[in-house]
Amino acid sequence: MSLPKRIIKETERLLQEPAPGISATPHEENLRYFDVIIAGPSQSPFEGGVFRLELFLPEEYPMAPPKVRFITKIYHPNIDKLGRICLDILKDKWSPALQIRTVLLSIQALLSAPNPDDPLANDVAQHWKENEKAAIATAREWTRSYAQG
Amino acid sequence: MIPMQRLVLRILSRFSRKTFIRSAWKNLNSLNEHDELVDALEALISMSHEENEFIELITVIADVLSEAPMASAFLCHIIDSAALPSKETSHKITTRLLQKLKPGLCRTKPKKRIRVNVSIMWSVLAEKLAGEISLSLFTDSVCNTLLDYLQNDNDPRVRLFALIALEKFGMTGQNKQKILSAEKDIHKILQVLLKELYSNENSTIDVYRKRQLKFCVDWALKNTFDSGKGIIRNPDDSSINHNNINVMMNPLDATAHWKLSPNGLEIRNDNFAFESIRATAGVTSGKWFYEVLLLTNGIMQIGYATKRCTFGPEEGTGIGDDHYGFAYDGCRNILWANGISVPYGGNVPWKPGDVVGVYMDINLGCVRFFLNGKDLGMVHPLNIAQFRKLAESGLHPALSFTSYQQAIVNFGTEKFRYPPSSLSYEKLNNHVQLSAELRDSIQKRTSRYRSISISSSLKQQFETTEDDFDAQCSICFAMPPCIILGPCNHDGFCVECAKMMNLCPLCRCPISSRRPMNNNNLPPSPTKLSSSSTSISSSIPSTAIVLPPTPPDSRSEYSIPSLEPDVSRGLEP
Repeated sequence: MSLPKRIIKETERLLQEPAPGISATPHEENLRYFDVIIAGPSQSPFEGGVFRLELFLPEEYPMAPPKVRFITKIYHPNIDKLGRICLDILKDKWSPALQIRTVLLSIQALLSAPNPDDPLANDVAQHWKENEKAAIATAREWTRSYAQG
Repeated sequence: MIPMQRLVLRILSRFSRKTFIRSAWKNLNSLNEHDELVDALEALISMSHEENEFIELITVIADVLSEAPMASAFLCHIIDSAALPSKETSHKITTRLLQKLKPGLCRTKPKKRIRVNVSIMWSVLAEKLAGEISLSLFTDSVCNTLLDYLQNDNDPRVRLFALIALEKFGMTGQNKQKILSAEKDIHKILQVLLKELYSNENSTIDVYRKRQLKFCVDWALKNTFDSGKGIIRNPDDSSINHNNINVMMNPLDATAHWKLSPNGLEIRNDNFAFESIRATAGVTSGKWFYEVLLLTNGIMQIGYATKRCTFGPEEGTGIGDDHYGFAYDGCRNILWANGISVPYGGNVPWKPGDVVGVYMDINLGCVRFFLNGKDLGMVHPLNIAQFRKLAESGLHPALSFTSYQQAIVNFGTEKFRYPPSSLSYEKLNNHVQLSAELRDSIQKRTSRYRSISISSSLKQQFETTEDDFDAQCSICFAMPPCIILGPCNHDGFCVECAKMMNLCPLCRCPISSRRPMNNNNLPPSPTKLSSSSTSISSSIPSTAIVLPPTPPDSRSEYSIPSLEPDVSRGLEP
């Protein structure tokens, strides 16, 4: 097993002291591949939702960012319909000092604070900007229909 | 439209449910019109919402499932979209499937097709419904039936799918225990089977199916059902030196579920998703050729992709499905580039044993595919400028497979079967090197990998690494932290990690120097991102580097002095 110590230690900590509202479990057959569950933050349109994500640590990790994707459908201006996430630390603002835990906390924070000015899903962002109330209602509806575990 | 359909369906199903399912299924496999296809699929899916109809659906499909390449893809889609069956329903399903396997009046065994189909049906259900439901599907009789097929059936295809079904049930822990503790010893069965397959290797009957079976048995012995006691060696592993192989398919640059031979050139997908994989090497200019020997005839997309090509196994996207690659699929006879498909090649689908040749000329921006030496025609997937631009980041040979597909890739290690004689080209294998490290990781990935459970492997590794978290490099958590970065003076990094970074990981300022830390001479590192330096480098002349004190527990392989010259000469500006 040539799994880097960094990954082993991070995994151990994730399993022993999970961050509130977040769980990340590595696949038995591929320890670089994690099943992630993030609970929708309270007072956000995603409250009450259970969002499944996949997280993969590429060979270059931690010199390259983990790859993360929503599996559960979500109505969010920074997440597109394939579940890809627009978050700077997952791209050019990655730093090897960041960890799986910090990445997942950032994603959780992104759910609390959607940013329609830096959109990935253009139609959703447009909706959000033009009629925030209606967009939030749609997000709530999607949470109810798709994110129930 | 939909409620209407439901109504029609209800009425139809009252009269002849079976006939209806049969015809809907038949339509599904023969229709090309997208709308009609969706309608037929919709009709079948809507049946799954009532228990009895779902059971009927499953049993009828088990009757009529054919070897048509699309059949298992449709089946997966139906199970995916179906309402989750209850435990009771799934128990009933298993009972019905078992009944199908009972000897009839005039036969001792059910037809081969039924034996295969029921195994496939169990595989799909076991994978899609892993967990509680899989437990109720996997009764003792199912376990024994599958082990019996694996051991005694005279058809390699039945044995293959019995094995795959066992693997899929084994995804659920308690089921795996049941398999491993069954009266028939699966390790013994697999080892005997493997020996048998090796001993009649020269037989020409069913050669591609036997090859698939051999590959899967070998994989199961080393991975899924690894006994942990050592295994009989597959002659392919030990007698053949892999050092002449400079390009392999890279399981570390792929979706998660590939089965791969130890030489990294034979690949198979038994997962119910569209799995993709890139080769270890990419090219940026020149003319190149490689070959793929097909062992199955299903949907495979064979071509080139850059690292930016995204793999969407669940969405069904792979090589050629975005702007970062192109691929040929001779099952549907189409060429994929830029995410769209155009008709390409002949009218007849490819078959096991066919050899696909992939020729690419980056300078002219053109691609040619060959089937058994026959030129299928030159294409320009992009205009020349775009093509060259794409190639700048490196085009890797890359493949995407639907379930149950297998092939052997040849980058020039072996003689090409059908070299394109009129064209000049290079062999990838002659022009690149595979790092020992990557070779090693790939080989580890092909053996005994899946069997290591997370808890035991982690535990084992933790026991050997009880070092204090803080006493290690904050990036790799493995080496002593002995480097301080300039100009920001953030510290806590080891030599190797410091070398790999251009920006400080804590404050993102460009790194201008990497110096050894000395706790006696240096002030504690600043914690705020903005607090930049009074130049400490000036207080320590680079000719007189003070070595960090060796931590008392540090082991010899971490010896710092040996790394020090690198630091002073290589990295100081």
